[in-house]
Amino acid sequence: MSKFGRILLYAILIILGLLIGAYTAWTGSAKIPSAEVGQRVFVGEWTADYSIGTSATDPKTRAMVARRGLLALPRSEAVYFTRTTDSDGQALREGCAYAMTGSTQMGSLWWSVTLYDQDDFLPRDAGNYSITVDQFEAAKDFSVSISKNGDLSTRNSGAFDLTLRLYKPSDWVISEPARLALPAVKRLTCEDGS
Amino acid sequence: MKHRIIPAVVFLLSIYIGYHATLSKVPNVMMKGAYERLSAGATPINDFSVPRMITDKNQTIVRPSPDLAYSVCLIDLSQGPIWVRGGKTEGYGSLTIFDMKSDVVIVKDLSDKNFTVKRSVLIGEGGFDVHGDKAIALIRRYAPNLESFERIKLEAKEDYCGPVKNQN
Repeated sequence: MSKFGRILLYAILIILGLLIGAYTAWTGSAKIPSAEVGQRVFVGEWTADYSIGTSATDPKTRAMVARRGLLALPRSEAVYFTRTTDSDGQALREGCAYAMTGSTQMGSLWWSVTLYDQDDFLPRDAGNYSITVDQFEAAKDFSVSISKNGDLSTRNSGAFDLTLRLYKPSDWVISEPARLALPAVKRLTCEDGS
Repeated sequence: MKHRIIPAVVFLLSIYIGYHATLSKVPNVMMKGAYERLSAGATPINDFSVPRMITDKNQTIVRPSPDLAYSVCLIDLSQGPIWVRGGKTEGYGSLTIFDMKSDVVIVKDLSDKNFTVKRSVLIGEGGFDVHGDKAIALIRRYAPNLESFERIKLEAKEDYCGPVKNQN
């Protein structure tokens, strides 16, 4: 190979390598973090990252938080639990109806559950995309429907997820998250009969 | 053999460098994008925006909470330090300052009933370092209904984000 040919080959390899590396980092950071990233906490199907809002995390965690939780509060103010699957481990999707049940007492000053579409935004024209503890007043337990016309609307959401925010969490929520009893999400029916 | 190993090593090294260089820049890129989108959406520089509820029609940042009223100040320190204060709130409220790497520089509880928490901070020279000349101040207040949102609009009149000499 001529000298020019070798230079051209290395230039192509370097540019291609940099592009592949950049693409992998950019797309990978948009995914929900896996168990080995950050300070992952698992409570049933719900997962949280307690390292949100801190600077002491690794670059991968920081990138993931920036992509999926920009301007999020640190854990002293709020913890964010997300789930993408129902209680049977099946992906949550627009064409199905679900029932979410649980205790209104979740170790925090107040809490909310918000439904986000597959692009991490509130679904367009869905209407009911959030519930808060105040809707259940003094009730000990709660139950809501999740469907196109439900208490939480799945309209235009595609493959959606649910985010549970616990504001001003008690100390034990941080130190012993396994004690948390978070809501169950049971699939009832699907439009395609599955 | 050598003719194949060296190009392969160069290629893999390039992937590694591209991956880690991009990963380290993601927080800055996302914050810069958010700052620019908010600025283009008429969020003021060195002044708090009026509180607003986030809906599916006006969302600019991923995963917003529709149960909160947000007031945003885009901080620009190029003319000197900036004083930021969050007015007290009856329900849940917090003031958070983010640097352009998306790190929380400081968070203040605005719902402290005993007023033991100082609700104002100095950003820039002589105060908190945000590692650059830009930052974002964000006030969240719990607004589960229209009635509480009307109350919040009054509470927000105590919010301040601007030059030290004008703060009062």
